[in-house]
Amino acid sequence: MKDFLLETNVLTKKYGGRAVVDQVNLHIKKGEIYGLIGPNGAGKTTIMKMIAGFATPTEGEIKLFTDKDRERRIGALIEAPGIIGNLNGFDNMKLKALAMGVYDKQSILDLLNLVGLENDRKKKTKNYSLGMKQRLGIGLALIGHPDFLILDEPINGLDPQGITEVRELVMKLSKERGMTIMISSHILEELSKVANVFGIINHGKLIKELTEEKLKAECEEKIEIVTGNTDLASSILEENNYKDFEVVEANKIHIFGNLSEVPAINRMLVMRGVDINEIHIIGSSLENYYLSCIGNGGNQNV
Amino acid sequence: MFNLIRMNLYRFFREKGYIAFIITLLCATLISAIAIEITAESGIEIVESVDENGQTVYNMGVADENSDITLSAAAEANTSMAEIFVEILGSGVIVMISGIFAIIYSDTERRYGFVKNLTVRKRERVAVFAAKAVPVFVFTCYTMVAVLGGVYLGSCFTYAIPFGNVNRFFAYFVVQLFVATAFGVFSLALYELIRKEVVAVIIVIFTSLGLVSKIVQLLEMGLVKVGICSEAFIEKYEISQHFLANRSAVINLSDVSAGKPCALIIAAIGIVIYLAAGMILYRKKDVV
Repeated sequence: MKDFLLETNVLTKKYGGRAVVDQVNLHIKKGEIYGLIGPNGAGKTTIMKMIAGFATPTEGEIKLFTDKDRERRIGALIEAPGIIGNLNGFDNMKLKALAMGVYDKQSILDLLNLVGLENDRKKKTKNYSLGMKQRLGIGLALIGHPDFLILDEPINGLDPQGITEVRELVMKLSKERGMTIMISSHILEELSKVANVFGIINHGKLIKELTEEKLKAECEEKIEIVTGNTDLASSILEENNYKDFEVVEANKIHIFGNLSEVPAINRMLVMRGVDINEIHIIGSSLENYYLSCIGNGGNQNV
Repeated sequence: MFNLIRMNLYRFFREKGYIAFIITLLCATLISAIAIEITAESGIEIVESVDENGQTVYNMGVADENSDITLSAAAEANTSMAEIFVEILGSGVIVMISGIFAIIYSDTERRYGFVKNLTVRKRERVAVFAAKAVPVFVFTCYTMVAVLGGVYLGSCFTYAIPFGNVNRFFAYFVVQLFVATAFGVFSLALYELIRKEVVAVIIVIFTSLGLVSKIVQLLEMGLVKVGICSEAFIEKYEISQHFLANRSAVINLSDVSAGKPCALIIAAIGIVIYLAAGMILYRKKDVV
């Protein structure tokens, strides 16, 4: 077994016979920032609810901490932050700390400082802005110093400054505390700035899991050659110092870089007896790549 | 569990529960003042009777073949704070308030989403439900204290009346507290079942006014009519008398049991059954 902190095995959730999460196999390693991306209604929040223990799976299993300390080792911010409007920020934090049996005034003040609410701790949370509420929600999730943090669309409704602050906080938690973080969003561009592993989900199914490097490679512009003789083409490319290429399918080669040398590469291969069916530059933006994934549907394990 | 109880008590006092105390105190003061004033002016409502122990007791508005009507000249000397307290609580108001508080308390936790903070990967999330019984008990207790305070203030503003029999009052207070708390726990379980605040509050209001026992009485009449059981059987077991709201209404200073089994046992059974039911529902249903 690999060193996964979290694994789900054919995780399924049905409401009224309809599967909103359908046989999802997720894998998150310790220390990763896992970005779960999908359109609205894809099942992201439901997956997170099941992992956090708010909803019971209809089928499948979740392998996460099994020891008795698991309540303290997980923090979650799912949908709206759960804060009582008539109480101030400090009291909301204190309530959760008391419930967990970890109340310490200084720890709470440190957390409020970490999320930038130390000056607003005595203000009633019903008077907080949306960004402040989101930050307090993250603060609540951090009580007890969890090892695993679940953040469900934490940047929803935030202004650009708020988005930057949340992003920096997530990066800080990962770097300084070695926290494993699972974060969801429907904005791949923003998620790509923080996450190092991505899970793309649509209609309740996990379409793809891929690393940051793989995602970049998928989106990077490259030369695509379609030919019936990839072996000969590969050896010719190597002889001519084109090292950065990959045979992706039986009849397809991708060459990274050298985008201005398409005519030269074409001529070189043809003159050495390689039949070229197609040669062109491909690549896409993150959004286009994401849209192509959810548009295609199906399961593709990378 | 202890941590959750601590959290619930902290939340209870921080959410300004004293406002409910003040409102209850004011309302009880007003009711008591009016009741004492009417009693003093007319006297007709004050009734002196002898209980089964041979002791003289004074009741407001209660008369039977063993009673004498006492007139206004001695009226203000013929009632007590304890009696007025019993009259107020016996109207069903304390079980109603306890039930409504329980529902609002649970709904606030869910509506604000705060329940998510309490149940993250919780091994036994039913403890979150069970711990709510404690603030229900505390709220019921201090509401009853507020009523007592209101009766005292009502007396201060009108006529000075005696407190009454302290031992009987204390026994009544304890039994009524547990009966009302049991009803509050029933309301917690009811809310977990339907998870709709308004509907639950309406059910609680009508249940506290005796609707369920009326329905049961109707069913009993039906059963006798179709011949499934006899009137003697119904009279012997008196199912409707075992309901919490009904028992709360009939217990009084002279008789804190008001039937068999005693009210305290009814309350204890109610707390156990409704706690268990609520915990089962809490475990089976998704938190959010």
